[in-house]
Amino acid sequence: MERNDRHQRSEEEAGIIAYLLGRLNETESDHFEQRYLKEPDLFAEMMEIEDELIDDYAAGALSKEDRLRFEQHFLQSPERRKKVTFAMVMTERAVRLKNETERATSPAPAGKDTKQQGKVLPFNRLRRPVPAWRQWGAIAAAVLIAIAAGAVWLRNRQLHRELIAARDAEIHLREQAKQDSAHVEQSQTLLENEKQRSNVLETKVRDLSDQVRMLREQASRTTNLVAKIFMGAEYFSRITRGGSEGKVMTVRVPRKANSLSVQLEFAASAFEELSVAVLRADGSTLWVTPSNLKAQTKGNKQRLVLTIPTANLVSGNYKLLITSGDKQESVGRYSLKVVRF
Amino acid sequence: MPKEKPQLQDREFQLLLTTLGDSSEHGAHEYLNLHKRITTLFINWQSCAPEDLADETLNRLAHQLTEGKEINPASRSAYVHGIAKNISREHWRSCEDCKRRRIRSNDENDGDSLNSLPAIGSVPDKEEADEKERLLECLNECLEKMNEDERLLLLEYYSEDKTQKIVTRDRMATRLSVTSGALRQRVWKLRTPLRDCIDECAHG
Repeated sequence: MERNDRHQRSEEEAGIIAYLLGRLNETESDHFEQRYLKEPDLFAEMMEIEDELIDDYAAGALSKEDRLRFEQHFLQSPERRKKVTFAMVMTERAVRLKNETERATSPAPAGKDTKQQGKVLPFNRLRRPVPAWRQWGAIAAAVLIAIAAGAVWLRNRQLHRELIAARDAEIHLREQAKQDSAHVEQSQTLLENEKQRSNVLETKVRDLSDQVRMLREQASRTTNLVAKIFMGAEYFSRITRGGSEGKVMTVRVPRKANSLSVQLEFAASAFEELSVAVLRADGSTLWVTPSNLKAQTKGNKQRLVLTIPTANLVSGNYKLLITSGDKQESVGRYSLKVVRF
Repeated sequence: MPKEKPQLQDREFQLLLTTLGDSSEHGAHEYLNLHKRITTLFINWQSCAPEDLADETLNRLAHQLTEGKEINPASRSAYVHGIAKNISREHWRSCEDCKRRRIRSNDENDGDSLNSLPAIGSVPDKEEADEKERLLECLNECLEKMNEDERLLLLEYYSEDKTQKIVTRDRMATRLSVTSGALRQRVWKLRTPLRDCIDECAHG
């Protein structure tokens, strides 16, 4: 069964699959790409179908042609290859579990004797004489039935009496109901007034729950959330005349995170104790490590771990400047583009 | 020798954020969403460093906005797509290594050969087997953390291979009275955090 033959899909889904498998021509691809840059829903659907396609590939459910297209056009990125590995492991786990469950719930293999148990009894057994214990059993059953019938008759008579009593009670209750209906009318008027008051209270409760939600949101913003990043040597640049800048790392810091944990790795310097400053784009200092940090040296690399408070960290460009512990010599720097969201 | 790329100035970045959203915060959200979509664009074009190229695309957009270029919001995506396409062309021209890699991988995929990923049921070598074992351990650990209904749904979704997989999906959608698209979305929402959990467990 091939994915697109028997499995009915919407035109949009078919279009997404065609794009992902590289079946569209350049104009069609351009048009589709411009659409998913603009339409979040289409992009989300494409991401979902991408994963489904990966699952189908991992499960061997793609046609030969689609499988080749998948490998040529789709599977080049390491991220997608990782997803395929996940899908393969997940499929293997689920298939194994299903087989184990099926084995556990299926009946045990039958031996020679137990095979007989499942067979229909031969008809000639009906012709044998009835044993005495069965006759006595039949008599006992008849006596029991007679006793049960008597009990039912007695119970019926009692119920009949109860029914007459209930009818009397009904008449009495009807009279009482007439009296009560007058009270009900009065109560309804009171109820209307109560309803109006309750509506007013409901509005107040809604307002209060909105306030509580806002307060909770505010509180959650102040919880101790930490964003983490690792900046490798490729982002590091030494401060030398004519030296090239390292790569700029885009760092996503959630609005509610109140600190940013940074792990830095760079070519080993001559210093064991270092200081780090966060500089704004205009060169002003946003933050400096309160005390010197001890670098971990591993081979020809050094590592530093620091936690930067994010209270004053807004979206923008920053530099992390590493200096010697006495701040007399610069070791190097990193460039960051911070996006607060 | 590739030429040094001009870095994005702070005011250019701020202008980009305020162009993308009503406020700086909304702009930051939009920036991240757009960055993700552009990264996917470069992944689909088989570029070597999709995230960096997405950065570069947005940097160029910011430069142009600073230079006074007016971009109609309705045609912004077409404009961004154009910038990304130019960057991709430059990237392929300058990145000989990437070109070679792409040609090689296309050559490897010619004919009926499967790529280096192990097929289900194949016998892996020692290193692959260890890695798979580790992933399976992490998978079990992460599945344990899930709510039971969600875990069973995912396991059922993955419980068949080959063509039976598609049949199972249709059967599940019918049983749950949802469309196949809604089932796909539900599974996607469960699968994404599970994958993150496994990733963190295996490599964290």
